[in-house]
Parts: sequence; C-alpha cells; structure tokens
Amino acid sequence: MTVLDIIQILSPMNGISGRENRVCDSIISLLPAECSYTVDALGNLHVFRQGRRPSKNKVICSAHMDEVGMIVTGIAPDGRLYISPVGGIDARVIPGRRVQVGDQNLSGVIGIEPACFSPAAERKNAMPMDQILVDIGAKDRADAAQYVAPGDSVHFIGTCTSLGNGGIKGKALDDRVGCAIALSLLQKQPAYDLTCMFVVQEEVGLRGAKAAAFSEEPDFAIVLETTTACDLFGIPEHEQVCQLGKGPVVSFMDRSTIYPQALYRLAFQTAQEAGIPCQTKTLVAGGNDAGAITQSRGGVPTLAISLPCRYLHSPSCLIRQDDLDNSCRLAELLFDKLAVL
Amino acid sequence: MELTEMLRRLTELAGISKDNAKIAQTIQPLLPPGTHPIQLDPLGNLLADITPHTEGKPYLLLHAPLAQAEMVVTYIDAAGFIHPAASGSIDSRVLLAQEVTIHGKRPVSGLIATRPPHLEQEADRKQVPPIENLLIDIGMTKREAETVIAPGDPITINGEWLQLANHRVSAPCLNSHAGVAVLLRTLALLQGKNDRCGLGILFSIQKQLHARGAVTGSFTMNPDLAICIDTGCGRTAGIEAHRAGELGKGSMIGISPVLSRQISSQLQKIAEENHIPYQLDVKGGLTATAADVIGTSRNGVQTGLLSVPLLYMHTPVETIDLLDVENTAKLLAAWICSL
Repeated sequence: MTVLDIIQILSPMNGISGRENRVCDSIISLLPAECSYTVDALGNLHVFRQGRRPSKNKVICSAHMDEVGMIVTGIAPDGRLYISPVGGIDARVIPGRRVQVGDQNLSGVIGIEPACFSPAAERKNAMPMDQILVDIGAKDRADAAQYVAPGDSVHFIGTCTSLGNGGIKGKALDDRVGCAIALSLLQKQPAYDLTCMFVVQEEVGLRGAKAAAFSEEPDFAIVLETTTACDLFGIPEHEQVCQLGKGPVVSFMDRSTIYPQALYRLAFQTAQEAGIPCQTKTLVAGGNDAGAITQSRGGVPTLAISLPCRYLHSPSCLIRQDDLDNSCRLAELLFDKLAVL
Repeated sequence: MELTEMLRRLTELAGISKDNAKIAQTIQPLLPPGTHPIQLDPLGNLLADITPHTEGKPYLLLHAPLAQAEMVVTYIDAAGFIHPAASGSIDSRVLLAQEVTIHGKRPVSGLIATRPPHLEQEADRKQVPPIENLLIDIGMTKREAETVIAPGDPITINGEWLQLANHRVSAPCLNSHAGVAVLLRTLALLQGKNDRCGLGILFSIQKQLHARGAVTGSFTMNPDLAICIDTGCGRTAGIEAHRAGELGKGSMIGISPVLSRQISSQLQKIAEENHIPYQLDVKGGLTATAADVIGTSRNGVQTGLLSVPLLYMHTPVETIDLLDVENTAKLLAAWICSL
C-alpha cells in the first residue's frame, strides 16, 4: 500500500477535534500485525514497532488525527442548525457547501439567502459566522431534533483525487497526510525502535500531543504535518511562505515553536546528502504540535517536517505527490539519524 | 422514469457536459412516445412539437430554462492559474475554495484558490473577492494548461445530488432543472388526455443573460399561450413571508402586470377545484423569468408563470421539495385539460 493509498483512505474520514474515533479506528485497521498499540484517556493512539536494532535515543513521530470543521450548537425554530467553527476556518469557505452531520453522516447543505434579498453592497460582504446555518431539510425545530442534537459534528464532504499534473486534493489533508506518512514508516520494520503518536485535538490548542508526549517521554520528536503554501499568482515571493514542488518544509520558527538550531541544520544537511529538495518557511506563521511536545516534561528537542499545502483548512486542500515522496524519505532518514545521535 | 431519478440524471449531466445536444439526447427518451426528435435551434435552444397545431384550438408553449455555466475562462497566467469571469448569476459569496470543472478539450478539475488568513487583514476577511479576481488552481503549469484549456471555455461548479429530510433534495442548477422536471412530468400526466390545445415545448438557453434564448425560441414556436415554469425564492427565517414561497406548500402562481391576469386567475381556480396546494407570487413588474420576453414575442402571447419554491438560489446547494415539483405538474396538467 502506497502512502497515497493511505491518504485516500484517511482523507474522507470524518473527525473534527474531539471526534477523532473514526479516524483512529481506520488507522488501527491499517497497522501491520507487528505493531502494538494503546489508546489513551484522551483518545491518542500510541503505536510501537520494534526496529532491526535497539536505538540509543527514543524518537517519536507525531501526527494529528483531527481536522477543522464545525459543531452543532443549537436548532433554530425553522429547523436549521446553528453551528460554531471547530479550529481556524475562514468563514468565507463555508457557505454553498454540502456537509455531513453527526455520527450517522446525515446529509446537509449550507446555503445563503439569495442576492435578491441583499442590497448590492451586502453581496460583497462575507457571511458572518453567526449567520451561517446548516439545513438538513427539517421543517421545524421538533422535526430536526429527531435527527440531530447539539454537540453533533459537522464535516465538509470531499473526495481525495489527483489534480492536474502531480497534484493531490482532498479534505483534511491537514493532517491525514502526516498520519499517512507515520503509517508508511510503520509498514516495514524500521532500522530502530519506532513509536508513532496519532494525536487528538491539535486544531483546538495542541491538546492531545501534550498528554501523549508526557506518556511517551521521548528524547526527540518529529512532527509530521502540512503547512500553508501561498504560492499563488500575484503574491510576492517573500509572502508565499513556501511553495509546492520545492520539497518538505522545515522551519526555524513558527507561532508555537522556536526549533533547535542544531536539529534545523541537521534536517537540511540530511536532505542535501540524500539529494532531497527541502525548503524553509519565509514567514513566522502557523504552528503545530511541536509547540506542545517541545514543552513536555523537562523539554523535548522537536522538529517538524511539513508538506507545503495550498488552501489549508479549506474543504479542498492541495499537495503534490513529489513533496509527499520527499517528505517520507526525509522523515525516515532523519528518524534514523536522531535514533543514534 | 421516476421524478427523483430524472432530476438526478439532469444534475449529473450538467456537471459533465455543457453540450446541449447531449442534454437533448437525455431528455428525448423522457418525452411521450412518438414525439418528434427535439430540435436544436441556431442558438442552442431545445424545441419540440408535442401536439401539432390544429385549426380552432390554441397552441400552448411550455417553457423551462436550461442550466448554464457559472463562469468562463478569460486568461491563463504565468503560474498556470486560470482567471474567470462570471457568465451566469452565481453568488460570489459561495465561491471561495469550491471545486470546479473547466470544459476544455476535456473536462479539467480545478479548485478556486484562497489566500491564507495570515496574509489578509481583518477587513479583507469580511469581504468576498469579485469573480474577476478569483484564481482557479488546476495543478498545471501554463504550458500544460494551454494544451487543454483556452479562453472562452465554460466553467461549472462541482456539486452533487443530496437527498435531505422531508422529500427535499439539494443539487446545483436546480433553479433550471426543477422547471425541466415539472415540464416533463406534466407531459407524462397529460399523455392521452390533451384534446384542448396544440402543445409545444421550449428549453431555452441563457436565461440569466436577459433570457436571450427564450426570445428566439418563442418566435420560432409562435404560440398563442405560454406557461413559463421556473423557480422562485424559497423562504428562510430571515425573509418576510410575502416575499418568498414556502417549501412543501405547492406551486407559486405568478401574478404581475406583465403576466396574463386571466391565466393567473384560472390557475388559482383550478388549484382550488382540484385541491392542489398553491401559493401566490406577486411581483410589481418584470418577473426576472423568460415570461418577460415570451409575453412580447411576435404580436404578443398570453403568458403565465408557475414557480417551484427553491432555497439558496444561485449557490451549488440549491434545495427544493420534490412534492412541489409534483404539485406544480399536477396543477399545470389540470389547467391544460380545462382550456
């Protein structure tokens, strides 16, 4: 099974923060028999696979299972559902979409009142989040309450397919791509003992990784992630952050972490030796579970390997196959180095 | 064919083809047996004579609009992004991050690009960009893109058929397909029953662009009477009751200075007599439907308007209640039998 095959299984799975169980079950079903695993109190999945040799250092790979989405907060008198965003979503990508609601994947749509009811100036204005409701076809509140309850999850619908020449688009690529890379590392016997954490609640404050890293007590950690690429037409190069097709992104600093200089250099050196393209982020922005893992117990030197991803946190994210392959290679090489550093 | 299945087929077709000849091929088998082949006129309208004109009886035209592409390719930039312009009435507030199909030499998938939040000021996030400022990402270089896409190629927004609760369905382009479905269902209900009038049908193009197709199509069909079947704004909580129709409460009978007062009254009377649910849709002037132009075709045509209430108009998740489609067809068939 290729890493792309795994992404195509995991991307359509529904799992907003706090409702990662279906993603977790799916990952467990993909684990080779040689792996052992536990699920902790928060729902983090800890997987271990024995390596060919014992390692000097305990190195963990971490990816988060949750995705951004929405949650039902109430039912309006007309039977539509009030929602709140879960994680950082631009409210402008929500109207006009099909969604799935709750554990039963009930179909719903998010419409807006037609332009004939809005003055022209208003049509240029984004719908504010508190005016965006989900319609499941219910006639009124009592009718809707037969199908839905506050607290039910609301997920975007998206298929994971190729786009153009070497592109891969799908929902929740942040961070099912990281989960898939971790799974691919577990597929064959690693050089050294390997622990992978598939964690919950990243999008609502790096919460799962905090608990999971405490349990694991690693010497080093590699976070497998996606990060914002803004390499669009008309955007100046220094504002593009990173670019698709230029390899995995290793950043020196983001909003959650200042990465250890030594590890940052080691990553680029490792990439260079192996002939893997590698880039850094040209803007201090975003953040990931490294922020939580770095501060675990007495401190854990942590690095993040991220795929450049356009349209992050939208229902259709875009990555490239070559970046995916290069990220897998770099993750494996870096793991091997850190294990005996 | 069952109504639901027919609408679903039309939805799928709209996504993969902007070719009206293919749409005609899909609709043809849904027409009553023995109907002449659907004609394509020079503009691309679909026309058919169902019951030929006979002396002493009026000739009635039933009209429904065809779906049209929401956007058109204007430019391919150096980075391979496609630049669009609007060609329909899609609401620009629903476009960011949508998946689209560009109908080039072959169908090409694309994503409407968004800029990440950290590159936008708070004020930017409160506005949606105009369609002309959007970029479509097709995952290709300019050179690769130019082998399959050219300026002028139509762009449609991807969507799919969704069954919701209470006979409600959501799909793109229902604002035209609901009318097509009513028309086809009416013909099915009328089979063997209409001896009152000659009957022709017109599925017209470019409704959103001043109903240009209906102008020429109605000239060709040369009717005495016409009924336009369209969709009307459905009501959600934020809209006053008199400005919109309620889903599930029947066809919206149009009343307006530009419509035939006689036909509007007859439709109400027939609905009452046959216990078919209906609601009124009163406009002070133009109806923003093909009825506006069909009424003044040639030497003038008595025209009526029936609309299926529809939620979220001009978005990819337009939503209707299938009972309203059925009840609109019932009302129309009963009215035709009363002529």
